[in-house]
Amino acid sequence: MKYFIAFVLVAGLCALAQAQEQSCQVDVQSACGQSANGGVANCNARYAAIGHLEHKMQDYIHLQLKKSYEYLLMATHFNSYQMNRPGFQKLYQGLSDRAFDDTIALIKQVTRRGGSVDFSKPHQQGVAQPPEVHLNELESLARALDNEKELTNGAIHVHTSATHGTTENRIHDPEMAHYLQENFLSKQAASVRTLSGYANDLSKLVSVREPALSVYLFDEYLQKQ
Amino acid sequence: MMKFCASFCLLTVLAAINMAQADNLQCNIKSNAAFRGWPDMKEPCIRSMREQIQKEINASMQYLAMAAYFSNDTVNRPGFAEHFFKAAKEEREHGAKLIEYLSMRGELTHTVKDLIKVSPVKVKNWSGLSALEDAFKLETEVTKSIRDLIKTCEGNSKKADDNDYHLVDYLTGVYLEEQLTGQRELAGKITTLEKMMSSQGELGEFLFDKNM
Repeated sequence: MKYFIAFVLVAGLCALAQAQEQSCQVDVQSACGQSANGGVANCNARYAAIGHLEHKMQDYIHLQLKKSYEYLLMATHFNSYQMNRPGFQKLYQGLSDRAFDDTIALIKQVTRRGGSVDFSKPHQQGVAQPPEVHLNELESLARALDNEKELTNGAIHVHTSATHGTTENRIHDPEMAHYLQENFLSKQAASVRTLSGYANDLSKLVSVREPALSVYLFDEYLQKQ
Repeated sequence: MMKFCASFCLLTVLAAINMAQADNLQCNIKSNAAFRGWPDMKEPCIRSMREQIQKEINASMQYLAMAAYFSNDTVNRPGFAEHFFKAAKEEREHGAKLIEYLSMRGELTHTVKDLIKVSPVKVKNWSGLSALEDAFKLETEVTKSIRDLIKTCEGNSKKADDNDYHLVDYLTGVYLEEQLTGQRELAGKITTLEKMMSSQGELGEFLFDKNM
């Protein structure tokens, strides 16, 4: 019995030591003045659910980047002399710039939390084929609305993981959830609503036999937005 | 009088038809406008322009990867990170400006779709110095590629009737100008950092980062 208690005690101490080893201070203590320097791997900014959120954030970052270039090409399409729709161009150029700025903001958020972002692997976020950007005015609005919902769902996906954790790993991450709510979800709601409004307006305007003037006026309206 | 009445009736009817809700949405608006001798850019030049656009986007991606690396908490070089985020934005801007130029010249009407591809880039455990050196190499490549682009767009006809004067001037005056000043700036940073590193090592990089 005595042996057993001693064994349990030793095991307990070992477990305690193991737990202690996970800290930055232990790393530093063991590294300072030692010839065999074990490094300070535990000195990092990682806590809460960053471990399983960082890959989801990385997917989201790649999605934003891809959409940024898709919007840039849509803007280019409407900037051609054959389309000549400066209002539509302005709309999509704005969305492209926003998606690129969001990409940078998301990289900053992931690395703020001790995660990292990898750009060295090909990314299969969404379809592999470059998207068709030669769309007519109404169809482009429809595409943009779908895109904005996809981007919203991307944020919701990370948010859900941050608030509910996974079944095997129930860690909550209020900071990440808050960040997404504050910086993405409300902004996305606004942009989805705006585009839905545009799509419905324009689909009413083009339900006449000769819609050229309607589309011209709608483009003029977009220029002023 | 009869004729006038008939044409008036016809007009009214036509207007009424247009006002009435069509069964389908009329989404595509066609134009039959035609231009003689325009757009006038030459095929090899257009092709090289498209390649240059992709190169600018690749450079932007490379800088983004560097910025992400220096943002890591265990690397912690916010000065370098900001520098490369800015560079990534600038390269993207360069690509976008070339695209705009092609549109201005009447190109990019049917071939926008495959203009840009987002590809993975090389990632290393950079030091401040090695990142700046890689950036310098990248800028040197871009400069060379712009020079080649200029040559292509100057054409090779003796009478110079395939010389795209305006684009060549734009590339020389705006793009080469930016490349050369950018290279000089990077070279200056590299020598300063190299001096600081050789005498002070880690402290050199730490201080350099804070003053970037």
